[in-house]
Amino acid sequence: MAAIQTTPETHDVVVIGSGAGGGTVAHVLTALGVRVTLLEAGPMLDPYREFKEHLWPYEVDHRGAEEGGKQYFGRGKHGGYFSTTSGGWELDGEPYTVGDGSQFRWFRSRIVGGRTNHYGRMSFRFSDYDFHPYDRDGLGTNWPISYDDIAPYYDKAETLIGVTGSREGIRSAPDGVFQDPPPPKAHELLVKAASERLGIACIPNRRAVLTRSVNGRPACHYCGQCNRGCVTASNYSSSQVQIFPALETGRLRIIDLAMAREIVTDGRGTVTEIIYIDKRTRQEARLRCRVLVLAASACESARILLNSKTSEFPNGVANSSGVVGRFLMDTVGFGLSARVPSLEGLPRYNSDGAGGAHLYMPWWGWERQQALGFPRGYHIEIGGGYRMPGIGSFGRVARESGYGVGLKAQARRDYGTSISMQGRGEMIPNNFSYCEIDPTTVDQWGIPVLRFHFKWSDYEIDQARHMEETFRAIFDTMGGLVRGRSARDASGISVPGSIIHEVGAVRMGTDPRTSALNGFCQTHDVDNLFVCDGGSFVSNPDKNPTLTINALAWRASEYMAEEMRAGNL
Amino acid sequence: MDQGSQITRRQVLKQLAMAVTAGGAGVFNLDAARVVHALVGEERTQTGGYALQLLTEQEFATVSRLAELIVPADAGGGSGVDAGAPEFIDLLCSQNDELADIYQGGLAWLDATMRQRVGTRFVDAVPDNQTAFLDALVEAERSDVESDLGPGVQFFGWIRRMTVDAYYTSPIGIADLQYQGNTSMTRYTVPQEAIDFVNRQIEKM
Repeated sequence: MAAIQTTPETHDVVVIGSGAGGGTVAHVLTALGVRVTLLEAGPMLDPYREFKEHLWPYEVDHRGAEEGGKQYFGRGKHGGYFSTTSGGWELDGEPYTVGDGSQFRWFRSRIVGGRTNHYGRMSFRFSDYDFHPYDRDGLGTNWPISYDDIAPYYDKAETLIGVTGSREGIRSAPDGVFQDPPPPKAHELLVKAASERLGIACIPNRRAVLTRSVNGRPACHYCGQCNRGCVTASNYSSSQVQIFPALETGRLRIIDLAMAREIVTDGRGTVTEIIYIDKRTRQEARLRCRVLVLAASACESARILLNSKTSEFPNGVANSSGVVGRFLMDTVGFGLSARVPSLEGLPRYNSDGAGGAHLYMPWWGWERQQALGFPRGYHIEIGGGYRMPGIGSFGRVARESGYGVGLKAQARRDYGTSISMQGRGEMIPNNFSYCEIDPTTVDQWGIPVLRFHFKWSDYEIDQARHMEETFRAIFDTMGGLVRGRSARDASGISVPGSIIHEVGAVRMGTDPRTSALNGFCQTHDVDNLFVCDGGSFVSNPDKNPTLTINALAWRASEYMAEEMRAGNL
Repeated sequence: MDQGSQITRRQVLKQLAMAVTAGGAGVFNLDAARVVHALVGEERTQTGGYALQLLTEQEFATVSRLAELIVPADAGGGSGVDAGAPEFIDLLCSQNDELADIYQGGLAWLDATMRQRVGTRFVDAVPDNQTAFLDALVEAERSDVESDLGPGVQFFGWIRRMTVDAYYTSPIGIADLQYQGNTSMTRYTVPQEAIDFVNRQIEKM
């Protein structure tokens, strides 16, 4: 490696990562007049080149099977060729390892905006009770903040990014600042009727998709392809909604293709520099900074901390507690699909809608948790409708019907009659689920990689079983013919990491001996160091994490700006 | 929806650009226009002859016959051949040795087995013999008992899934299904007749 380059300038705030956390920090700080330098491990985003929105499968010669039919061999892109995902479960030259006896999948996106360019846009507030889980059932740990602390920041985040929804007054799913939701799709009316017959409320979904224009972003045009990225920015992505506007302030500088390696301190517990690799030149570079914010994703931020061993922090910067990397969580996932014969003959119509489902079922059992036999809850997401056909859409029909005119007839009959339900539930953090530095492996940049360990406990297995019973009951009510589980494990529970809600690993708390961060995402050990991604999560409620990452990062940014103004940082 | 009404990404984006211009939202105009121009250049013309990438003429003829049997033309739409399945298969095989082996090996097995059975290659057999053989493969596929048709079952599974994919990802297959999306709407509504239909099902529930 060539001579180390040092930039003499001191940057006010350096942010590592440009997803939901980094995007929010960049947006809020630049709006408050603070200069921000943002490092992103991937390239700058050009939505028009990157997003495959509106492309028909026949407009590419491989129809979406990818070159050489990669999708057929399980080597294609996550979510299919048309999904916008610069990144995936494996990145060339940037491996991770998994400990013996564990399973873990880690989805990384290397591009400005990160995973927010294509994520599901589910935007659920945590409930008041989600912040003190230990007080409820003696499991896990309480957060150092309450719902009242974060509620104003949920308001701000929802107002900026735009979230659809309806006011319902359900304790497990607090109401927010909502745009009008789109009407239910036809098949969802059937699900709602079956669900409500079983006493499970089914309400308008809460997704970060605009139904009316905000800040020059036009309302959704209902192509249903949010997962491909949206050229009109009618849904939330940190790139289009926060980072591009922040660039317009003149106070944001982006250094792309910059792979952060380690933090440098002054020997007295203050961060002075971040060392990164410029991927274009493979050269090492340093940035001096007044404040450093890690927002590289929960595990990537933990990795940077653990790889930063200094004289005062031999176990990694800000890790005097030893909790960095620990209490890693994913969401409990379980899916079931069914063919619903009563939908045969439903008139064809455009069911694309706002992408994803227009209805969902929030957790309904918080008052009778004791009787259920497992702690914590889950919500249910619905799939179905007349979807754009793609690779594999009629694989089952082909196997069932053999070949010939009968195959075509069955495809016409079955099209649009499938409904799926996906449970998304809360796991209890445990001592067997963590990441650490692999002592033997480095990536192509010479940076030691993470090794994952993960274990579901009976709490999660029992919850997945309850999901299965519930989904079967709903399908039975609507006369659905259940096909099978979505996962391969005997219990049907998702592979750890595969729901892509990995959080924790740099958790916050009141006690510096058992947590790495305070309630403002500031490390207990180092005043000028913050972690503003999902790493701070103390628990992982059945609320998809992005909106809470936005809100926590917003709150941390205002605190940071005030501390800088007051001369404390 | 008929085939003629299929619209391209370029057209949709053009509509969007016009809608945004009309709405006065501003910033997207230039960028949207840029996309439209870029995509014009990208659009491929699907007409004209196809130059084989990997398969021999003989292999391609067999793949074409199989594609026609798997997805035949009927009142609802054309065949697997009309949808470009043989070209799709040849192209992907030319990019992937593993897939090429599956096809070339499978086709060789198919012809050898047909010769034993009826004395000709598959493509030269009379239609009744061709369908009788495919029926035997489907029967073997559904049976729990192992048979010497195993390699054929494997190969047929591949060509069937890829033919079906090629058909339903083509304009004629999409029209056959009457998929009506991948467009832009200013307001999302569900037709009343669809709502009424579901409500009738709910009453029976």
